[in-house]
Amino acid sequence: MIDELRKAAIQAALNIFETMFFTFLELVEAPKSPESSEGLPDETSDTFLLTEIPFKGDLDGALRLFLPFSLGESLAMNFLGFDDEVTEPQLLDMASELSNMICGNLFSHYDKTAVYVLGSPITEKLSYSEALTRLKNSDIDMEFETEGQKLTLQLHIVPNIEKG
Amino acid sequence: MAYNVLIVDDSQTMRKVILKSLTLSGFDMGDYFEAGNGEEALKVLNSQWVDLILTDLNMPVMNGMELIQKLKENPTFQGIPVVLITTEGSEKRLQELFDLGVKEYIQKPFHPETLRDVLTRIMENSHD
Repeated sequence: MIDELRKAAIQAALNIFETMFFTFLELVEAPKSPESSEGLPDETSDTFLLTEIPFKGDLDGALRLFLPFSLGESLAMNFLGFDDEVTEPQLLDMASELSNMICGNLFSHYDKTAVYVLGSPITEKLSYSEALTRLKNSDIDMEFETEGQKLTLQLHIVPNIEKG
Repeated sequence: MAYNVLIVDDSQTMRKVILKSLTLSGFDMGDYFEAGNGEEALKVLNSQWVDLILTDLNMPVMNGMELIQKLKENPTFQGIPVVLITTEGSEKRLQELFDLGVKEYIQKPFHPETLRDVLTRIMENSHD
């Protein structure tokens, strides 16, 4: 199950970044130690965006996406087709929509027959230390690189004995 | 013939992106209206002439499915073609929506050309 979810999430992320953000992601293949900060977005960026979207279905849980604020700005400009600076509310809204698209898309890759209900995504601005705290304890971690910066995608699955 | 379009999505950013895609695609668009949820969409429909509705599914206050049900119950609005633009791809959920009268379904992410082709096909068929 974990491998299938991971593959579906990677496929969804690559597809969405290319189609809607005109940005090519490269998957970073590196096992992550739970005690290390590996997998954290690029620490040279001092502010990060964390967006989280809950889901319910055959599996319950949440998808989280971490990315440097500066990368978010660049993505938002690509997404909106703006040459000027994007506003912070537009940036947060873009990050929420990005996580929404990845989450919905990954479940349609994972299991087309099941119905997954997505909650409302919430996006926050975080410092490096806050991002480090939030990054721990996930079931599936994926790290990508683009434009010389790292972004991390996580899936948290809530154990549910009744659902098997 | 230019078509008046109503875009319903709780993300203001996504509404802008859909509008940009419509403009880039060359779709023959007249006036453009937007709403953040189904309830706002019904208010727009009560005051403006709309030829085509593009709606998201997951929205607060009144979601896309509830909006489609309201449209189906209303003789004035039930003939307006509805296209779903959403991230969801569940076959079961989509069948429920097609049973409610949704004309087409576009899964995010999408290319502007896909949007144009789907909308042009719907509007041509709506005159048959």
